[in-house]
Amino acid sequence: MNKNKTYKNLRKLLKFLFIAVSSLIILVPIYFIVVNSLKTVEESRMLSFSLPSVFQWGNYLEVIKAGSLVRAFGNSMLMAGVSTVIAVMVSSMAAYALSRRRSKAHNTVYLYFFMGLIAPVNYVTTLFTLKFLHLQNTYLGIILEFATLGIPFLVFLYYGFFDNIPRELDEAAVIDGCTPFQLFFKVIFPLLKPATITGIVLNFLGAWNDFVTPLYLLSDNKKLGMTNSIYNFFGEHFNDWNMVFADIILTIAPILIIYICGQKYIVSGTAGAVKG
Amino acid sequence: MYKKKLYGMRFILPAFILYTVLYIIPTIAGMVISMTDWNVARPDIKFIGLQNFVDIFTSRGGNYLASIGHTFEFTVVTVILKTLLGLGLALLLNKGLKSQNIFRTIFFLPYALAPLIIGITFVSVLKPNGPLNIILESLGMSGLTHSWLTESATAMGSTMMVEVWRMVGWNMMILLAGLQMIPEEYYEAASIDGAGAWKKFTKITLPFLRPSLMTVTVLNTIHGLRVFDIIYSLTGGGPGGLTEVINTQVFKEFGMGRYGMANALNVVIFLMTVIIAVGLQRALSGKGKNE
Amino acid sequence: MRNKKLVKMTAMAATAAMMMTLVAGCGNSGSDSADKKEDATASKGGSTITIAASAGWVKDIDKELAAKYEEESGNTIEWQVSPDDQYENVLNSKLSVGEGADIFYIRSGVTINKYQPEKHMMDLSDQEWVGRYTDWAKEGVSNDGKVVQFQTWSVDGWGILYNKAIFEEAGITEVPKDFASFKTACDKVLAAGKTPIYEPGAAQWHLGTWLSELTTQEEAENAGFYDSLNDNSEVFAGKEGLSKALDQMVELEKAGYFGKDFMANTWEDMVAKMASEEYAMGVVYTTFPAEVEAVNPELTQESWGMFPIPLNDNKEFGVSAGGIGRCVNKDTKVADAVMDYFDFLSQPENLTAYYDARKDLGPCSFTDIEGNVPAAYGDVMDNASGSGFTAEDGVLYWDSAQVGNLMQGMFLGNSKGEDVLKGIDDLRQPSFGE
Repeated sequence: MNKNKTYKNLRKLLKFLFIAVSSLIILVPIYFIVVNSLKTVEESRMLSFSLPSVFQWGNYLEVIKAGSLVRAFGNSMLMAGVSTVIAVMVSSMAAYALSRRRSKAHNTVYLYFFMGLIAPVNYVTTLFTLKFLHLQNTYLGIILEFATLGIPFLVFLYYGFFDNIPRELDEAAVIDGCTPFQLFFKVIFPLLKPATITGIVLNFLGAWNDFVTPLYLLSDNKKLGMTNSIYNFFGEHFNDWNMVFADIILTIAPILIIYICGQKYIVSGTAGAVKG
Repeated sequence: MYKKKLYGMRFILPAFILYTVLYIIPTIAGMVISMTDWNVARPDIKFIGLQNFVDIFTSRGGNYLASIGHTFEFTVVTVILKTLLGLGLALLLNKGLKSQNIFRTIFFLPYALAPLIIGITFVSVLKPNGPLNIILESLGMSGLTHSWLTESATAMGSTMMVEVWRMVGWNMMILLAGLQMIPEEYYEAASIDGAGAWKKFTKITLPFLRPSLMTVTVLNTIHGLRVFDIIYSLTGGGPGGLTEVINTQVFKEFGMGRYGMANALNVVIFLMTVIIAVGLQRALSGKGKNE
Repeated sequence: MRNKKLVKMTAMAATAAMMMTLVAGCGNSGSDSADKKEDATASKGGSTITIAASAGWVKDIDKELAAKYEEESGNTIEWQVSPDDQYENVLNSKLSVGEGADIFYIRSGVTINKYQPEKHMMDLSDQEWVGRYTDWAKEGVSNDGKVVQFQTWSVDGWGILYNKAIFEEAGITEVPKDFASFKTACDKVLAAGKTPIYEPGAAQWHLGTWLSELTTQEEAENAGFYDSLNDNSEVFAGKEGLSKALDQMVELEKAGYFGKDFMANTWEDMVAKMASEEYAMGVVYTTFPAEVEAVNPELTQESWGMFPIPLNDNKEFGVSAGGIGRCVNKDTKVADAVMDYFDFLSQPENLTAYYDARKDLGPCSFTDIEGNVPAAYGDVMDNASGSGFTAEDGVLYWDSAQVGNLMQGMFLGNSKGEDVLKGIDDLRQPSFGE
């Protein structure tokens, strides 16, 4: 019995070591970014792994100033944040009705949404549509566009998740006198928490990381967010790797925080979607 | 009857309208444009039917067929690697390790980074004097060093590896979700029957995981066929067009102002993706099932 | 039952309509770009001028002068700068949707034709500063007899810049005049332990620039070549001089003159590499030494010489049509303010400030001031038998990056010079239409 236990422990240790070593493949490039963001320009051009001779924390302040990152950060938060709220609301509602009804027509509408995972985005015609709605070069326009781009995946995610929520709940709530909207927002929506958190994290990441859409739909440089700022910054400071890496860290730090906060829900959140 | 009241159109409409106006209408407009010779350098736009598609499949005006080939190559290799490696990680990190949450976070992390940022970073990592070659040399493997993104032998492979690096954690996450839905009792019962690890894997894990595997395979295929950012930021389609895929070509056609052709290429990817995704779904879910 | 359905449908439609108006309404209140275009017509302050440009074309001095102008006039400048590799796409799509900026930057010369000048560009011929243009500037910014650009750039071309000290050290006494003497010189540099040429092979456009220079020779020997290409009665395929030049370029690479892994070399590194004195030569523009000097003060203008790219024994120096200019959108609602801004920029005092800050530019587009006259410019002209427009400035639908992409295939051993020429024809053909 004892022998068996040591054997088990040894296996566990080997497994741990194996995973730890594999994770270096992810961690080493990240370490590389961090360490080089703290060097002087000359040192960072060597693109090496060594620690900086003197830690240049000032790089970060300089990048924030040079890239007007405070404004860009606010823009990104606004655009990614609001669009995510809209996308999560409308998608959960749509998926709810679609998954509860499941008539032929509803299945077709579901497929219609699913197509969005495949259909190409056309920026010229999208810009034209936004112009028609007088939404070109506005925060509202880009927010609605980001929300729209998130809808297909979110509908897909929620659609599967609703199978986990028993219909008996709906019936009980109706007997208690709930209106359809009360039923959804007071009873159902709170139960969707894992899917919602997963959706929020993924959608926020998508909007935050998207640099092409704002490039076409927003003209004014002052309205651009963090990821576009890094693109412009890279264009101007292509050889100042320390600055580029510092900018990268500043761009990914907020999404990492959001991701780590939502991380424990992501597995159970995706679980639902996968079943469908 | 109560279904209609409870789950009425009011729930579907907001998403439906947004999606239709800002996604489907522009996309359909793009498809209409694909049948014209619209070029921003010329004032007149003519309807030319399927001429753009004929040009694509005869590679007239660009090496379109090669790009389609590269897209398939990229898709097949990355789908296989992402799915298998993702499955391996999911099995390792499913249970039994105290630190599993930390590792899950680490492996999922690249997915949170913008492809553009990954591109900028790996361009420097893969330079001839960059970190990867430094590591190889310090391990005494200087024979293996390459100018990874600019040699014909390694350019395409390198972009594939970066894509796998980015997406493997995402595959792991979906497969983990699938693994956690397998009831523990099945494994216990199998243990009592004296089944070994391999038998448990093939008889319990795989069948239960089938829907998850199907989902990741289909989504990986869609991602693969639509690849753009990663290749664009790593190689821009070079060297000499060796990593040119359909979407980098679309970008170039847009740059040259040939909107007709750019949209036609978009339609080609769309149709290819639909056919392949539907085919895969059918094949993987077993025939006869409706969904 | 049926009635109910009808009511429901109407309600749905109403909801949809409400949503759209709500959306559109919010948009209007939030949008300053849509509003300001209508109300701002006066030139005396309060107008917003939008300017679209590629990131590499807008320097600190442009922002400074714009700020000074804002202060003097009360108008506002709104920059719409896109990353270099995205600018063309963004500009095309905005122009075709009717959302172009008031001022947009594009290359002078034949490139103007790519953007439908009669539809998108305002005729600027009657502006005061047109009379002060130099001849080359006026030619470069004119299309169909009309001036369509306000340009503060300079005419320049790309030649082989060489480090005089390294040449001396290697025992090269004469500037290479043909391909044979060029190869000999490269061998001597190699023997002296330096790399002969820094070629940023990762920058596809830079490879294309070589060929864009060499077409000048074809045009010089065969006048009307560009015109025939532009009316689509001539092609590149079969031009033996050009395919020979391309094959010779591969020969240079095979002989190791570009060093190891040259296709990983970036343009962004070029200043530093030339400043390191490890490389003897490189294909650059004539003002390049000033940029090197900023990094390594020991290398002055006098440290360098320049000669035309001697592939296929070429002696022609290809030049631009004046560089980059600003077009005025025909749909602009703030034309007066834009003209006011150009008047401001064209004042000698501001031109001086501009050219003082832009050491990468050569002679000024206006006769008021001289601008910078780099030593290399005189040098390369002395070494050349003549000069003419490069393909980039003389051939319609030429795209140096795409050409470079084809050329990379040649260095990988997948094609020959003649295939590159055919590939260029294939790329250009669809743009002419049926």
